[in-house]
Amino acid sequence: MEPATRTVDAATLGTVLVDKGMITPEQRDWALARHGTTGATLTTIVISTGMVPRRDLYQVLAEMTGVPFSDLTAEQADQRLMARLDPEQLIRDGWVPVRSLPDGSTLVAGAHIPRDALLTSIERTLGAPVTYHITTDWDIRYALQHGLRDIIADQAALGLWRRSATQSARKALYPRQLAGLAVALAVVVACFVLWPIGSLQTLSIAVSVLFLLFVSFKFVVCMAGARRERYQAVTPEDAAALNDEDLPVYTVLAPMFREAAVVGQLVTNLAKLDYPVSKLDVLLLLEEDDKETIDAAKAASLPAWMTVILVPRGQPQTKPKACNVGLFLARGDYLVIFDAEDKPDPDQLKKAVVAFDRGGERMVCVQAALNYWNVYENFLTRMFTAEYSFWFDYMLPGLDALRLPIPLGGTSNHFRTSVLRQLGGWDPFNVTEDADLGIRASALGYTVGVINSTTFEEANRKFGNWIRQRSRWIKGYMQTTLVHARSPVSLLKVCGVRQTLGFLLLVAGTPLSFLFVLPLWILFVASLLIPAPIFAELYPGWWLWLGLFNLLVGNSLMIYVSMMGAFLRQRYGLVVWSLLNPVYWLLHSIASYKALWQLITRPHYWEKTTHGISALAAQPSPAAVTGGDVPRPRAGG
Amino acid sequence: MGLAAPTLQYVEHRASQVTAAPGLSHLDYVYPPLPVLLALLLPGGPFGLAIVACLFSGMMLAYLVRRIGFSRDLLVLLPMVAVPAMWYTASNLLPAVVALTFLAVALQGFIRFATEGETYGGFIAGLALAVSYSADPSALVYAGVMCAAVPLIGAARYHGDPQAPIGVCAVLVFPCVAAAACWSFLLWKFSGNWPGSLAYSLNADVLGFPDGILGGIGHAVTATLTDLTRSELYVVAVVLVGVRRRAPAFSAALVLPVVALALALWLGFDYSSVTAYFLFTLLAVTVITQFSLMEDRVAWWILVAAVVAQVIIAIAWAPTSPGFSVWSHHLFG
Repeated sequence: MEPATRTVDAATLGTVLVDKGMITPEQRDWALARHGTTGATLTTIVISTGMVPRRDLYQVLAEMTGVPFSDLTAEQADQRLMARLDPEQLIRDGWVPVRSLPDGSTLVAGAHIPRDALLTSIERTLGAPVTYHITTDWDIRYALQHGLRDIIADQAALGLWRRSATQSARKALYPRQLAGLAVALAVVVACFVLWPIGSLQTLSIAVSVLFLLFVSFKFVVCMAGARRERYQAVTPEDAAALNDEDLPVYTVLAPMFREAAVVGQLVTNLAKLDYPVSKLDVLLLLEEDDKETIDAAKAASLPAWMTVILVPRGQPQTKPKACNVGLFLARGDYLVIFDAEDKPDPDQLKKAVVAFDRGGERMVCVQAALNYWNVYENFLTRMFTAEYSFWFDYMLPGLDALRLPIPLGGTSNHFRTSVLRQLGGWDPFNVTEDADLGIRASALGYTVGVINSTTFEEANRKFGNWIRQRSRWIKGYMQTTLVHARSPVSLLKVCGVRQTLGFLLLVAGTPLSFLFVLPLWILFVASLLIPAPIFAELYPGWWLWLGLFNLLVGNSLMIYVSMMGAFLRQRYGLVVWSLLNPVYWLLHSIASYKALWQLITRPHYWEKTTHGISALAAQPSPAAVTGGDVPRPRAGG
Repeated sequence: MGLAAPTLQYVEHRASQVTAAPGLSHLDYVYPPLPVLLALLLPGGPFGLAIVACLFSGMMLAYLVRRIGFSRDLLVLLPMVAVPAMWYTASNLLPAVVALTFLAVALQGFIRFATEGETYGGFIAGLALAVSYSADPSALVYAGVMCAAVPLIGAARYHGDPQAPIGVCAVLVFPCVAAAACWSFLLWKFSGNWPGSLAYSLNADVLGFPDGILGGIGHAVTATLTDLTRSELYVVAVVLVGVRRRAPAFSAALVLPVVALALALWLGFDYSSVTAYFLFTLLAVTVITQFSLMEDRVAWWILVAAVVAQVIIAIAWAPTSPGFSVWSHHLFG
C-alpha cells in the first residue's frame, strides 16, 4: 500500500480551479453552494454542469494529491484481472485493476482520492499490494466496458436464462407445453372431423364468451382505476419537499437504435428533468454497429452528465439486451428507462423516489403514465392516444388498486437497481420485456406501483409501422403467457388464485381477445348476408344471439372506456373518435395474427418501430413547460 | 296469489310469451329487458317481482339515506316514505322503480361529472342511465336532458373548449344509446319486429300521438304542470338553489326535467302521475343534499314546510291509475 493518504476538501479544490483559471470565483461559489445543498461532490458538480472538462479536473486532483494520473483509453486494463472480480463492486467503488507490476503489486486506477479505507478494501479484494493511480469515472466505465466486453455481452443476453431458464423466453415452448398444445389441437381437429357443425358452434360460443370475459375484466379494472382518479400517489408538493441532499443517484437508460434523428431531442428532453445533474447517471445505449446513431451522438456534443455506452454486437439484438448492458454499468440506486423521443414530466424522478420510500422494500418498480403529444395527426394517432389514456390512466391504477400483477409499459418504468439485478434484469428474448418483468416481479412477491406522472411520446402514425409495433407487443404478451404458464401449479402457489387469474385474464386474455375479434366480426357480417334459414342450420338461434350479444356488448364497453380515458385527459375531441374503437380493434386483430405467425416462425425477432416520423413538431408536454432546474452557470474559466 | 298489479302481471306475461314458443321469434317480448329477464329467472310470478321491486326501493332509500346521513335532515324523505302512492310504486311498479333507482344514481354521478369534471361520475351516470333504459326507455329522454343541462351547470368548467360539450354528451349518452341500439338490433335480427318493441311497456304508445301532434303537446304540458302541483319540495328546492346558493344556472338546469317529462309524455312514453311524483321528489332530495340546503337555517324551515305540504297533498291525492285504486281499496278499504 502506498503510505500517503491525501485529502482534498471542496473549498481547496474550488480555489485551485479558480487559480488555474478553469472556473470563475462566482462559479466556484455556486458549485460550493450546490455541494452543500445536494451532498454531491464538487468534482461531480463541476463536471456534470460542464464547467470543467472531466479529464482536466481529474488531472488537477492527481496533481493536488501527488498521485499519478492514468488514461485508460490509452492503456487497456488487464481483462484477466478484471474478470476475477465482481463487476458490480468495481462500478460501485469506482476502481479497476490495470495490470500487475514487477514489484508484485497491482496497479489500480480509481476515480477517488486514495484514502486508507479505500486502499485497504482494494488490497483485500485483490489479495495483493496496490499501486494507486487516479483516473476519471468515465475511464473506469470505459475500461470495464472494454475489459469485460464478452462477460457483459454474455450476461446481457443469457444472464436470466442461466439463472432460471424457466423464466426466459429463449425457448418459447417447453416439451410438455408443446405436447399439451398438440393434444389440444388434435382433439379440436378430431371433433371437427367427427362433429363439424357441433364443434363449430361450440368453438364460436367459447370464443364469444371468452371475448366478453376478457373485455369485461378490463372494464371492471378500469372502473376500479377510475374510482381513484382524484387520488395522487405522490403530489407535486411531496416531490418538491425533497432535499437535493437526500436524493439518491438516479440512472437513466436511454436505449437507441437507428434513431439518429432524435438524439438532440433526447438531450433537450432529459435536460428538463427536475433532478440535480450531479446525481444523474444518464447512459445512452447505442448498438455497436449502429454507426449512424453513434455519429449523431458524437456530433451532438452530449452534456457531461450523459455517457455513451456501446452495446456489444450479438444476438439477440433487442432493446432488453441493451438495457441489461446499461443495468450492468449503472451506478444509480434507482433506474429508469426512457425512449429516445420521450418527454417525461420534469418531477417524475422525484415522484418515483417518494413512491419508493412509501412503497417499502418490496416495491421493485413504479410505472409512470405514457401519453402522446402528436394526438390529432391522423386516425391512428387519435386512437392510440385514446387507448393509452385508458390503459395508463385507468387500467394500471385499477390493477394497482386491485393488487393484481401490472405489466409494465415500454418506458418510464422506474426500478430499484439492486432488486432489478436480483430479478435478473430484462429477458432479452421476450419482445415485451417490460410486461414480462412486471409479471415476473409480481410472481416473486415484489410489488409494482404506479405514479401520477406522465411521459409524452410520439404516437405511431403509419399503418405499417403501427402493425409492426403492435404485432411485437402482442407477440410479447403471448411469450409472457407461455413463460409464466410453464408451471401453473407453482404460479398458483406463489401468486395465489387472485393474482394468477388477473395475470391470465390480462396477459393471456389480451392477445386472445384480439385474435377473437376477427372471427366474431366475420360471424356478424355473415349473419347479415347469409339468408336466415341457411344460417340457422349452422348456428341455432340462441348460439348466434349469444355470439352477437357478446360482440356488441364487448365492443360497447371498450368504446366507453376509450371515451372516458380521452375525457380524463381533457382531449374532448377524441371522445367521439372513440366510437371507431371497433375499427381500431380490427387492426389489432390483424396484428395479432401476424404476432401468432411470428411466434411460431420467428419468436425472438424484434420488429423495430421507427420513431421521429411525426409530421408535427414535438410540442412541449403540458407539464414540462416549466422546465427543469439544471444548473446553467455562465461559461468561464 | 294475492293482489297482482297490472304492471307485474304484464311483465310476467311477457316472460311467459318468450318461453311459450321455441326459437327466438318471441324475443321481441323481452321488453323492457331487465324486468322481463328478472321474471324469466325468478320464481314466484308477480309476487316474486313485487319482492324485487321492494328490494330496489329499499336500495334506493338506503342510497338516499347514506347521502343525507342519519340526522333530522332525513325529514326530506317523508314525501317518499309517508305517502300511499309511493308505497304502491315501491312494491308494484317494478320497471319504474328500477329505472328511477338507477336514475338517482345517474343524477349523482352526473352532477359530479358536470360540475367537478370527475370522470368516474360520468362513468356512473352513463352506465346507470343504460341500466335505467333497460327498465324504461324514457331514460333516453333523461340522458338528453342531462346533455342539455351541461352548458348550464358545467359552463365554467368547460368554457373555451368547443369540443367539450360534444365530449360530455357522448360520455353521458353513449351507454344508453349503445344499449338501445344493440338491443334493438338483436330484436330486429331475431324477431324482425324492432319498431314495435319500444312501445311494449304497459301504457306506452311511443310516437303514437293519439291526440295529434299539437294536441299532444297541450295534453303533455297540462299533465306535467298538474304533476308539479304535487311536487312542492322540488319547486322549493329549485328556487332555493337559485336564491340561497346563488346558482341560477343550476336552477335553470333543474327546470329541464320538467321539460323532459312533458317531452316524454308527448312522445308517448309510459309515464304516470305516480312515477312523475317519484321522479320530482327524487330530484328534490338529490339537489337538497348536493347543495347542503338543510344546513341553511332559513332554507331548512322552508323545506320542512314544503315537505309537510307535499305529504298532506300527496296523502289526500288519489292517483287515477286503476292498479292503485284496486290496491288502495284492498289495503285501506
